[in-house]
Amino acid sequence: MNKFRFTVITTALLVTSQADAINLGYDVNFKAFGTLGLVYSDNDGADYVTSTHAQATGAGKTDTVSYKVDSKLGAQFDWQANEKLSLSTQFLTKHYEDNTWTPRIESAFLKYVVASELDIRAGRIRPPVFNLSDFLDVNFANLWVRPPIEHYSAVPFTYMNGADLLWSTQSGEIAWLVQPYTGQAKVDNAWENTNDSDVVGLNIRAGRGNFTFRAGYAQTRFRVSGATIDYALNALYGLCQNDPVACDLANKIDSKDAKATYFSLGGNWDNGDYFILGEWSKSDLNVGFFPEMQSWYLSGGVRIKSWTPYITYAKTKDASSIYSRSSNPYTNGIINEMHNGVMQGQHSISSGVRYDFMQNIALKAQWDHIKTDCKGSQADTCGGVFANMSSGFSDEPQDAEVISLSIDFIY
Amino acid sequence: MNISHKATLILLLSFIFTCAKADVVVVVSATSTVNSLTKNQVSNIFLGKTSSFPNGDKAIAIDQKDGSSEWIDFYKKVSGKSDSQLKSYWATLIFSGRKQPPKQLADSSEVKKSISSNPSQISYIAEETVDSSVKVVLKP
Repeated sequence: MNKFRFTVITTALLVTSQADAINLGYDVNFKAFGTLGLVYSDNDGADYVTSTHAQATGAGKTDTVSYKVDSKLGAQFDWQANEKLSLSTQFLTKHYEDNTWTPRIESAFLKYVVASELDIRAGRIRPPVFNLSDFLDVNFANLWVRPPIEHYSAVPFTYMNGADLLWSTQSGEIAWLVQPYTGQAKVDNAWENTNDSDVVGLNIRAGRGNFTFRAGYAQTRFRVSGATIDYALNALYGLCQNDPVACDLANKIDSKDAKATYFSLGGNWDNGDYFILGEWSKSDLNVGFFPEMQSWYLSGGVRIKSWTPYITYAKTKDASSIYSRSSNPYTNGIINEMHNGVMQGQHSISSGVRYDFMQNIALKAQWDHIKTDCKGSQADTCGGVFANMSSGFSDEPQDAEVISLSIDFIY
Repeated sequence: MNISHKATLILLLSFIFTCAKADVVVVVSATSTVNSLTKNQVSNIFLGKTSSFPNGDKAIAIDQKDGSSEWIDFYKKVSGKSDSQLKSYWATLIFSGRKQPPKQLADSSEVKKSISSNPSQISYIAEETVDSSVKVVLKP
């Protein structure tokens, strides 16, 4: 089966010639994007993945060299019903967290032009939680082999069923995009399965000449449940009588209602020859022992004809201060144990090159030097952005050298 | 340098001169309320960042054929972006579902025909093809 998928992607790449969308008649346009990528990781203690929410296995432990990390194929159908109304549907197949390649509908929405500067969309939409979130899988559109995983694995969902407004306007020389959105998403809750979650957010962009600035805020509300939570809850209620910290935590968890917030700021400067881009985010999951994560990346490069060499530094860290906050060692034990299960501290230095060898096909090569970060001397806190960890992997800092080669196309 | 070499050189120079003279200018309908625009304002309209002119009127960008000399010249001067940078840029908008790229017309005369009948449209044509049906709002 995997061989079959591989052939489909390869064939799609080979038939790609010029980057014109195909008009299928009735004002329906077909467009596609895809990546054929190989990833090598020298650390066989766990799997290198693009996101711990999106993939369960990858390169390193399962396969030393894996085509499953980056390879994907997306297809999009756009139908213009009339001057104001259009319908867009996007299918995507990649190696998902359930280890299948079953295509999913990433977006399917109706878009209506309310006024010349205002569009409304309803249906399945990819919300722009971070700067690149709504085209995260379109590797051709991005500089690198893949957007920095330290930053982008913080968001546990890619699409929502809901609606948004796109207000694009210009004041003087500044172009603005103001995009509020709301809907329901399936959010990975880290201890158990995925949950329905209410999402609401705002995305703002401002661009002038070579500068673009972007800010985003999103909030999700989801249910906390599962055997791990029940275990913690029982233990905390047991300690409640002697420890107010345990009581407080137990009550917080027992409401089963968790709010997660994602705040991000970013920008880029690009004069055509040189560019620099970066983003910072704070993800706060207010469930007592869930960490407050901060992540950022900074990337820069130069364009020399069709070649674009670049370097990137990316980091994600646990910024919470919840360790050992009770005077009771048993309470602290429970807090730390629950907290450690969701640790992702890691930093990396990457260098790579993009080669635009055709108008719509890019070749990329990238080397990532990754180090996972521990929380002090706490065991089980050094997991980084890795999946499928062997026992002991998260007990001490890890190094990984990751080498990636990929071909990206759009059609 | 013998005569034939000189002739070749002159021919070559005049060819380069002619090519260089085929500059694009940004145009709107002669009946449009817009009289002049800056490079940034034009770039914002063609990159889908706004769909109105600075005076608030509706703006519809019309492209020449992708890869044509007018197309290359226009985007290089107005947006500072190369071919593949533009492709990457539009991929972000197309696949996020935010915007579709401007409609493309075959050549300068098709563009003029379309623009002169619609005061919302804005496009670019070779300078020497400008006539009374259109108004030049920017010489990039």
